Amino acid sequence: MKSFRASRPPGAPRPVAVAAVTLVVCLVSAAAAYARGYMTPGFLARKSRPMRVAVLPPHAEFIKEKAIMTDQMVQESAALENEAAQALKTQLEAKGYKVRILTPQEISRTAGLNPLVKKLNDRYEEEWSKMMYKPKKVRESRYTTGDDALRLCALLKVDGVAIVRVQAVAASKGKAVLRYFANSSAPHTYARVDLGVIDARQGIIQGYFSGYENTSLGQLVKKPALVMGQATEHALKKYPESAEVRVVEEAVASADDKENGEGDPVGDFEVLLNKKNQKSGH
Amino acid sequence: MKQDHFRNRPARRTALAGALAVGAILCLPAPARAAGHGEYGPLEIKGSEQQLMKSTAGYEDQFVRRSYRYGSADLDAAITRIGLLLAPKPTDPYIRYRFHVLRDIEPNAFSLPDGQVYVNTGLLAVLENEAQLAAVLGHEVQHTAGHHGILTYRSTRRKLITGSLLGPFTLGISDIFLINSLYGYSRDLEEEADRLGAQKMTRAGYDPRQIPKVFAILMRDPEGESPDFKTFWSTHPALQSRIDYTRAMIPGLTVGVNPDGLKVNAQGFRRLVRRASLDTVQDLVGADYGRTAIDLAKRLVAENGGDPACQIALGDARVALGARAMLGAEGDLTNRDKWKNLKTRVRYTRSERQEQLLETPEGQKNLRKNLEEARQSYQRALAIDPNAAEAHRGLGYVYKGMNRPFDAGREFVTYLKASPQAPDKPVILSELKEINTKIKKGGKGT
Repeated sequence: MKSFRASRPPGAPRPVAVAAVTLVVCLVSAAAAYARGYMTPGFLARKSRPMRVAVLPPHAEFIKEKAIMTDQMVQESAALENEAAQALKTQLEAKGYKVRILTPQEISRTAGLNPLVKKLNDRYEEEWSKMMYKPKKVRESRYTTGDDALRLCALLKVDGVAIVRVQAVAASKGKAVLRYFANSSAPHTYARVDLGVIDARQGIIQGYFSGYENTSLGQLVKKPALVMGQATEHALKKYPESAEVRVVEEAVASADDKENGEGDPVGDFEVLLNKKNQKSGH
Repeated sequence: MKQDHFRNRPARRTALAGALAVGAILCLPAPARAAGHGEYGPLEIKGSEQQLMKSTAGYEDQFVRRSYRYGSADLDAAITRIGLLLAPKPTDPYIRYRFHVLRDIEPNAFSLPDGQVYVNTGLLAVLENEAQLAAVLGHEVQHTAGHHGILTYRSTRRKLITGSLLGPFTLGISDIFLINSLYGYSRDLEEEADRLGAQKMTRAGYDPRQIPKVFAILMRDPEGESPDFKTFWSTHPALQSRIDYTRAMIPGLTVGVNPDGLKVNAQGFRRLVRRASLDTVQDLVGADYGRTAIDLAKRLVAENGGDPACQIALGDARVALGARAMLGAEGDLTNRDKWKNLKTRVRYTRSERQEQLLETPEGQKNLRKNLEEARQSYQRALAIDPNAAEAHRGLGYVYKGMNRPFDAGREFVTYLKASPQAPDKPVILSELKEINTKIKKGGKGT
């Protein structure tokens, strides 16, 4: 890809995010699989946990490490994206949530949805790059995606949005042989699924989940459904069932415990304004 | 000790010889590397390059799937018209030129080996005229025509093989030369695309004097977050160097041509990209690049002073600037300052950065100033068009920031009544709830 100036082309992975993912993956690569989950107290207590979730089309980066070069498996990554979305839907529904997968076709068909999805994805990536370093800060509601999530949820009539990022790295046979002779550790072919769940009321990233699965190049290419199913299962291991309520005794007041009664804010405001005007004699 | 030193000598000699050999090969001047030149005739795709081409084709679909495409038929048609005017005839069956606009704030464009050429909205928004767009497209199509992507792949592969064979003997020193060679090759191709693109655009009737201006535009850094780094580490020549050599080319390009008769088309172009520029301001606001958004919005106001949308965009950009100030002249910031700014953006969230600034008197002063200027912009928009609903929304946020909840609430209610189907209705209702709670609690400003 030759660009006009030295910079990241759209669609290319963000360097900070990729570096963070690589670091995390290196640290846990000894394990065959792992699951991580970080949630706000409100999410655990079911106050800010979305029950009706829209899943944005996942973004997958699939890299094949060859003996010398690396290949971007762009077409194959599309299969991983589709399967990750399907796996998430199936498994979240099994936990009792209502899930709606947003397809690229639906996004391009619905007026106003395309820029909203793009903006939310960009905003999420900005937070994601920070979240990778300090995932525990999710519990303190540190990461927020702002108004775009609220607008999107209102448009889709859901309580929250799930954003999925998939990273798959496959070592070719040549790479495996080289590593063997270099006395390096076994070739790592893995799939990692990262999931961020944003609520519709404040746009806060209420939950961040990550699942990692060791696999093979053959499985990634020929059985993407199986691999994505396994990695997603790991990612959702700590995701509570829809009815489950966990009370966390947090010393820090949770930012997501705001009052959120439905009411009529316009009517309420007008009443308050009239009172003020009467007081001041207008 | 002496004995050990002696025993290691053959190994050291080998390592040293290897390092010198690699260094000598890779440090040869660019022409002697026999690299950095495109292939403008047919080029056959070899074995491992099939995957490269397959992935390249996949990007077209991926950009659609990921909502990157801007989707403006007018803009796509315009850049296709200009691009096809500048594109050489395809030499291979796998090259088919197609031009698209991507929604991205970064002022950039790029091309792929199979003829896909993309221009970002962030670039269209800052370009001044059609000739500058032709300069960009002329450059990009040369990358495809010269098979630069495929040649870079081949060169990288060859050098990585050499590097992996020689690396162990040179204790890794050869890697530095390898990087120099890879980047140097890429820079050569960029310069070639600049030079050939300039020739092509002049032949097509565009004014080549606009080329250095494009690089000058790209050099702007309103955020103070683009530190300079050595060209050694860059895939592209330094922008100043690109300005210098393209400027030096102009007399040669315009021999026998009346330069004033060449096409520039500023007005028509700016009219064409007006919508994309307004969207870019909103995207810059969304991405928290307030200073860049203000620069662009000011330009839009200067171009279309009577358009309330431009005044609203300027107001939104001012609100987004928050507790920050506009930067002074470029020279006011050192490279270290720019690295520091960049690091702060990467490390802290937006609200954390804002909170840090608001702890200082300067930050509080900046916020007050920006909110006041935003208020004036929204008022100007309402003076032009009293029904400009977005101006009321903007004023709502300004008054909220000024701690005037009744005024803020009044503006939000006006906005909702003027625009009952607004896509951000739930956001505004949520703001109103917060305001109501604040008024009930009787805080300061109520």
